[in-house]
Amino acid sequence: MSAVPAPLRLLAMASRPSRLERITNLFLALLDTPRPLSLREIGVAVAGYPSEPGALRQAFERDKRTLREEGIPVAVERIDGEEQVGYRILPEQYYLPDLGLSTEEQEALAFALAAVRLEGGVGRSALAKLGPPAMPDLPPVAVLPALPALGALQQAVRTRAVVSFAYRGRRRAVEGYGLVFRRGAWYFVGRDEHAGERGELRTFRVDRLEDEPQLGDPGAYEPPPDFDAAAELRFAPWAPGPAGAGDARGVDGSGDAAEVLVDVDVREARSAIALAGDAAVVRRDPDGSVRLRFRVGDEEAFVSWVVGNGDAVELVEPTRLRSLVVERLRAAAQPQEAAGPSETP
Amino acid sequence: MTEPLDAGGRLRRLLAILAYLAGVGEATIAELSERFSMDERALVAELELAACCGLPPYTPDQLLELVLDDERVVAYGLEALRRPARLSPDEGFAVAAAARALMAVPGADPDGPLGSALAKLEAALGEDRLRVELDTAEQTEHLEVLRRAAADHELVEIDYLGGKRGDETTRVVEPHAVAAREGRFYLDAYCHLADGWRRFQVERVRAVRPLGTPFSPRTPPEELGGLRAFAGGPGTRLARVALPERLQALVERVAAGPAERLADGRAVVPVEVADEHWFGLLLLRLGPDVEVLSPPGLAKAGESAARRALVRYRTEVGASG
Repeated sequence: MSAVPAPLRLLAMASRPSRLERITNLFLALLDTPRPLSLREIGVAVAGYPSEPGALRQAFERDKRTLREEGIPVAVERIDGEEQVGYRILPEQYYLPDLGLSTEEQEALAFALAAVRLEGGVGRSALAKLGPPAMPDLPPVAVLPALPALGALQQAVRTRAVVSFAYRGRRRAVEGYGLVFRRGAWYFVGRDEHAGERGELRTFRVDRLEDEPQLGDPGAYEPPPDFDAAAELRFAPWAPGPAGAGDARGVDGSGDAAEVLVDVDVREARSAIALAGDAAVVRRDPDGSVRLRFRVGDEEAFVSWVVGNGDAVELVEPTRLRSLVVERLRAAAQPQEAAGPSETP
Repeated sequence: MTEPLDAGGRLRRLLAILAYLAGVGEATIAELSERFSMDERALVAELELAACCGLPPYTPDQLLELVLDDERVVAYGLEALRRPARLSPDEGFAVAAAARALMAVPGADPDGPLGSALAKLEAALGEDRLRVELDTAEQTEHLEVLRRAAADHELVEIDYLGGKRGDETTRVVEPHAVAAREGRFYLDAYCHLADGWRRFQVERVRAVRPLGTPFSPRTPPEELGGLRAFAGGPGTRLARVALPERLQALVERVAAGPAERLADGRAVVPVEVADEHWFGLLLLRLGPDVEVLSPPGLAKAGESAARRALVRYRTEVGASG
């Protein structure tokens, strides 16, 4: 027994089809057609479109945009005849190509999607398309945020499409070279065409994008060979300015960077080495503490880092910066109300 | 419960339902409603609408063949909808990110099935150029032992470094899970010493000794389930910290909610504090322009952290005092 008897269905359609019904019909017709359909053909054949040409065009453009927003590729092709353009959905562009995944590979992907929690992500629907067996709920191995912009940025990187978005109040047009997750945040690395005179390498925190990323045409650029986006992220708070990593220069490019010597106890040893680099390690003690020597570009930021690590980090040299640290700690050790040049604690 | 969707969202959902039906041929309304998180009435309405769709000229033989009764729906044909559509950008990202993250767990096999699956995805979708770093430390040697103990429900004894200097304890714990959050690996475990659930930084675990004794797993409290590394729990206090706008970015990651704005232009950020020493260090990092508005008990956290740090610089303190 059918949901609605056939004559009634036709009646329902004739009365006032909903927009969803119209889009569904458009989708089915465009996917089924062996040749591109002109707008006029669509208006005549597909149920639900108004007959007045202006209204038809408006309704169709709106539906086409919705289909594309849903990732359904509506191809525009030249056709003979008065209208010159036709539309269809090419099966090879619409369907997931056979990935040739083995059962083992499907299981590995299913396990990854079960073990890695992507907060706000769409892992489940992806899993259904890839066809692996459903996995039970597991305690997560890693928890990552899945921000709405990530899908589009990843798409831009994969297809080499320039992506534009607002960031820190300015419009950016970026050739994406990679996405990196580090220390709890996603970063997008690429060449911003609007930075500098000819475009410069920039890093963007994905959770600070100020609007939805818009993609340009695919195949617009080639990333530099062997580009390592992770190496572009300079995290040490005392890192020098936009010049290359490694050669430490003052923040304003003013030249000399101070060489510093710090003792870090076991609690912060790993993190400090991760920031300063393995090459900075001068000595490792049996209790797990380390002595590090490295150059800093931004002295103010470096002093804040030392102070903020409390008794886990001691700045040994240079004396000039060491007294700055002591000064800041002594000020902070004063009771808040009675700040002033009072006695030592 | 169903949220209102726009036409695009409804189309996406409808196509997913139809693709599923095309694969199974027949399903109960209850099952579909569960699988696609829709209430039954909305689901039936959507299926009835779909049954009116099809190809020109919309004669009965050209309509989607869905037969509904009170309990079930049977689908015939629907060949065009059976094959899965391409992954949407969001789906493609989810798969690649999950796989890359798992590959970043120490001990993952780059030549295993996950690695080859990623290579096939890249061949079809384009290079992902995605890099996931789970921990700032390259090697976290106790990870594997803790993970195994969690999987096997085996008690372990750990030597653990607290936040303060010289604060090292030995504890027997029931490991529940080891997960990377915000750039560090954490162990969630029921701790016998504290007689409660605790979240430990794996980096600060100095030694692990599996005890060979099984434990029966307990259900972890809800606060350990969230996204953030900080888990709260009993004894957590909410501090209100006033600071100039330029410093606001520094507390973004520890903020427990949206900031308010004071008349003098400063921002007030709520911060959950489980460990006073940690909070003291946060205040030191933020510098002198920060004020703890409440609670009064935490106002001096910065002072004590600074005093403790000054012990390491005692020469200068003595000389100038």
